Amino acid sequence: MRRRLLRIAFLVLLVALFPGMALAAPSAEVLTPAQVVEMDPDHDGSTVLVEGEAIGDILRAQGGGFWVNLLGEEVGLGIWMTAEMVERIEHLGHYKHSGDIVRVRGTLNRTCDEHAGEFDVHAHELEILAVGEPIIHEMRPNEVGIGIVGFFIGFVLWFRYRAVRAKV
Amino acid sequence: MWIRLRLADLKVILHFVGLFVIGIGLAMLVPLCTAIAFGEWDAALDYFMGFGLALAIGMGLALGRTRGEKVTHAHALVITALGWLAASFIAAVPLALSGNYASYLDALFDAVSGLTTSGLTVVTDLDHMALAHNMWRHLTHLIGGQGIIVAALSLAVGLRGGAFSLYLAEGRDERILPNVLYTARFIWFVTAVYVSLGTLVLWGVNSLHLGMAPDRGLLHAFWISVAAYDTGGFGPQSMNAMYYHSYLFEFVGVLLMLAGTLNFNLHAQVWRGDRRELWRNIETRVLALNMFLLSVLAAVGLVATRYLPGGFEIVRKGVYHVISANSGTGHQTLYPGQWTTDTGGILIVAVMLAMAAGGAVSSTAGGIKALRIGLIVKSVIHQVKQSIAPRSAVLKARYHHIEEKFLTPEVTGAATTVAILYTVTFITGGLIGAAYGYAPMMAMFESISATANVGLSAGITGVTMPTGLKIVYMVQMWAGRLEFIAVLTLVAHVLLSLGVRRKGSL
Repeated sequence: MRRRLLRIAFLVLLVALFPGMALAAPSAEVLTPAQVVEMDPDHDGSTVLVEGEAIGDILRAQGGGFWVNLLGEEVGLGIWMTAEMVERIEHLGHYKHSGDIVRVRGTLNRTCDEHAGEFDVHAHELEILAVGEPIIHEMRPNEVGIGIVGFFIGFVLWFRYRAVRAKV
Repeated sequence: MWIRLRLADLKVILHFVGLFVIGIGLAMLVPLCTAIAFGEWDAALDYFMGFGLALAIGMGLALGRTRGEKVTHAHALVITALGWLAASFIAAVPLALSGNYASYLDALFDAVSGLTTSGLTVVTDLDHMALAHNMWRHLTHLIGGQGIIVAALSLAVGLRGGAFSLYLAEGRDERILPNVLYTARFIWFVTAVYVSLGTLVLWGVNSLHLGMAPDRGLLHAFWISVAAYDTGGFGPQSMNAMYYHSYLFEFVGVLLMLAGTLNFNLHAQVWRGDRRELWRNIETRVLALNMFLLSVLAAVGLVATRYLPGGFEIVRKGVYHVISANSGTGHQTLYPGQWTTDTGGILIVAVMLAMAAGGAVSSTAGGIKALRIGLIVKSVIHQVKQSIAPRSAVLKARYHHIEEKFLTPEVTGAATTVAILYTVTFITGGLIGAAYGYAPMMAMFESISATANVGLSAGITGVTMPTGLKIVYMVQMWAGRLEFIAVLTLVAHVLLSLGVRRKGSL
């Protein structure tokens, strides 16, 4: 009995000392953009922790701030950020470069009041997990060979076609 | 009794199919130059190889016809059906080499979707795709939107006899100018004007308003202008139109979609100074009424679900998707899953009806088409009037389409036939999708989107979609773009040939 009381007292003390832990618990799970998009509509307005690759362009948002699109599991998600946050992002993903992997804590809006009904996340905190790197694309020499053979056959057939037409 | 294709006919057909293949190869010079300009050397090799293959295969096919035999109407229909298939197969080669497709079949799916201006896609990692490949994907919209045959006609590539038959076989109903070659060139002229204007305006939006880098802003502006005007629906990023987070951007896109969904003949009339035609034409009236009624329906649905907070948001999400669907474009600002979780059934129904209805005949849009719907409705009204009029009364129904015309049983019959073929294909594709285990409503949504060459997706289309369904949607896109007759003629000729072979007479 005494041990149980002690255990309860310890838990009460823990919650009293770290209330934030208890409140943040539902959103502590790191989600991909795809998981955020698939979340139940009931989570509208909740705080989410989302991680993904910053891609494409930094776009100016109507009404101030910036948009950064995060990619994860083939799904993109618009994150609204302040200028200070955006400045910390070094690379955006494209063909020749992978984008920074970032983690954002923010408010999920399925129909954002500020941005005319956008499905977005308004970032409160930004953490850069990994800086993007150049992507090396290997050349495939056999494509050159097939292309040259194709051109050769094509031109031979073209000359033959012209010769036959000239006879007719 | 039936006209059976002989070896000489086959040579004529393959000759033109070969020319189209070479044409697609030549068009690959644009992404090849893009790749060189942006230093995408591996992508440049994809197009070098694609061009080489196109030249070899195309010349091999074209070699058969050397005497300049005339193209008959039967030839034209088979050339069109086969030409579009062959063009898709060769257009898929560089896409398959890009590394952004799980298989050649997936690359073929996007090539068919691009050329038919559908916009459904099974691409992977689109956000890291080479600029050259994105250029090619959007260029397929440009080629297919105007038509592969229109492109060949405008360049007058060896099409001496039967040019008009070929033009009609591609799903074009009307000759705009007395000469079909000038008609083809006019279609390209109108396209060039709208795409250039759209590119300029969107470049301004991208660079000045959104802050994109000038080169990326220009490329995105060109691609979106092509996709919107040609009512295609591809986008350079996986988020499609959502990527830009801008209602100004979406507004310009809507204007281009509306321009693309109008009849080229109507464009010509307005160009000639006859602006009244815009309001008098049965097609424009049907289009306007259809878009208005379906927008109201969509708004009612969105108000009922309380998904969106206000009127502006309802216009931005509801009306935008009705116009995107009705014009056959398929640009999307909703995640596919949101059709089921957020928007409610009424918006889905409104969008499905808009997709099925489609734009104008002789436009870049797909679907049943406004003119046919107008004619069928007029015919129904006419028959009701006849049934309540005195027996001695002679009633004639008229309609205005470029000029005053009488509604004849032949015209109504042709419109009804095509409308029935579309409807049967919508339902068949929907049933097949449902048989694969997808929700019937979503399966029907995707089937209509594929057949009407729209490109909106409820989430079925993707790399993980069953192979069988990919093939079904490809056939739907192909048949829908050519409005069935050319494809059915090809099937009939194949069946006839098989019948002949069985009897041992070939």
